[in-house]
Amino acid sequence: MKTAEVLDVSFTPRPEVDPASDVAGWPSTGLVEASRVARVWISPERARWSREQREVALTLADGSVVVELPYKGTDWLVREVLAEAGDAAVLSPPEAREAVRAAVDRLQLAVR
Amino acid sequence: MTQGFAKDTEKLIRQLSLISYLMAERRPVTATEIRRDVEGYSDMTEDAFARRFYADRAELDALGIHLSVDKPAEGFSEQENYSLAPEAFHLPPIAFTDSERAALQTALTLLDGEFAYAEPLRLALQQIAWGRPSPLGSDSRQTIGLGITASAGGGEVSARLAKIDTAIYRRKRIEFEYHTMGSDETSLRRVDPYHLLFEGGQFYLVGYAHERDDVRVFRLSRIKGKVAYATKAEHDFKRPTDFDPRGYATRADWQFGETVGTAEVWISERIAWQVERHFGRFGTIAKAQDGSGDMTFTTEYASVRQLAAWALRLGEHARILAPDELVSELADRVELLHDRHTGELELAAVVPAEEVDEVVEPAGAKRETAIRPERFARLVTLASILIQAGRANERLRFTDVCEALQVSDAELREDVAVLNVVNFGGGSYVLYAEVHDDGTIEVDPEPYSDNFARPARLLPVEAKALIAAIDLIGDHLPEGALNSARDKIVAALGADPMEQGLQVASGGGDYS
Repeated sequence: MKTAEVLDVSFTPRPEVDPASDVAGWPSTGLVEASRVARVWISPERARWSREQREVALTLADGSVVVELPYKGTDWLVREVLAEAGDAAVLSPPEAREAVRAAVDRLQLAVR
Repeated sequence: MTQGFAKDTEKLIRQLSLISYLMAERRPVTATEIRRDVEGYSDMTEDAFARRFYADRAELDALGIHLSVDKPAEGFSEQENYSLAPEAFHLPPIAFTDSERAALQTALTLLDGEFAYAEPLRLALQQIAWGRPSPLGSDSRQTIGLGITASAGGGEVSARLAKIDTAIYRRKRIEFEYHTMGSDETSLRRVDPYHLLFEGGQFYLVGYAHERDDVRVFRLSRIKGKVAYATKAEHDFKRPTDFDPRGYATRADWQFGETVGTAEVWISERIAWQVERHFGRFGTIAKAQDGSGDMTFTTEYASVRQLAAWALRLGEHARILAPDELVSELADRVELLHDRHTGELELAAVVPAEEVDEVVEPAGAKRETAIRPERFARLVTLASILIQAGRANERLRFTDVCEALQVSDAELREDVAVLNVVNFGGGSYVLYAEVHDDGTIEVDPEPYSDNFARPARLLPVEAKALIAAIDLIGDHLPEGALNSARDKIVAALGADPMEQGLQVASGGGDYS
């Protein structure tokens, strides 16, 4: 949040909303109740760091690993993959792989 | 009188009786008088007394309770005089305002049960809340939930944390096997531990590494196996007076290690405010002169990859401007990203997964917190709770006291039995407490219970826990809400525990 302002308006909490149950979830565990799971390949050079941070789904013969990242927002997944600085690649789902590719295209324009 | 108790318990009784005696006497006393009058010493031979008394003093010293020793110019140790000034044992009163108390209540309730130092924190709060509802009491109007954790992260790391915490305080050199991620190698390390740092959800040890002849930072989760003391000496080193732990807590991911250069990074107006807020302290900001709202962020770096990774995460809203090696590194990595997201990525063969035995925690198992305060601290806190109730002529509910101190039924009964035996000088007892069948505790405070009727100084681990908790929460609440409470606590302690072994660092940034 960039800024916040208290208004002179009050509200009635909705009974179906339970903020405590949300807080007990992803902010503590880092795991979002996800609608999608991406499979992401991690290079051999970075595999051991990934093992520390995430569940490894597959180990490959060259030392690389495949991890599963639950996600709701594609933007978040794209940032996570970009932050691996080329040592990660989305394998599936196709639309997530495409989203990273589109972000990389924009980056290529920026760095030239 | 102390027969029937285990050796460790006899020692606690002896130490508590010694403290009670010294504070009651209000004058320096000789070792001879101590041996004659204090519960637990009178049956000892001269040699045994000399050894035990010396050991007890050393242990009390390690707990932060410093006996004054007045040595004559010449003479034998029996002619030394010992005293314990009240201010060496008691905490000065801390006058929290209602808003400070409310801030403490909010902040510290949030951490209960999810903090490696939870148990000493609980005891610290009992002491500083003296005479008022504990800040850990429930608040039905609580409107904030906390989603961060400062747990030690599992049984093994918890055990290491406890050992290292003690080693720091006792200035003991330690040895452990450590896995270095960079080289992917595990080797034995011999370290003088100076400080613990909690940052980004991980505990780190900062200490002098003998193999490297330099100060190094070790992540506790990368220590393999147990941490052991390197020697049997009482102390192994002195922390250098010019060691400043704060320097290790104010570094970005790309600044760990020796600085190799200074980078300039263009940041678009779109995210400039966010970068300034979360990363500004890791460098300097220069706003663009063209009024665009863009800015240039200048920062020192030790790791090319980490800085490139940080910039890439910001997408097209960041661009490295200098130096050239960094610009070209970033371009190479963008190329790599492009290649790996074009066409089909060829993967090596899958290695079959080995079967791993899962360790299943029993349902309802009490969560193991990392740091157990000394039982001594718990007894002192219990004594003050009991005496306060006795003076108010009130009975306590047994279950309430168990809950307040987080002890079992059996532990509390034994603690009460121990306190009933603390005495000195011809039957001068501190208190008498009786557990009734109706689940209440009735307390008769004795004349010498005065000494426990005021809050005791926080033990080093309790002070560390309290300030660490405030620092952990404070970063996530509006600035100022806990700052004044923290200042008062530090003033009462006489020193900032953060500088003496544990520091909670501000988060390095929020990417969400």
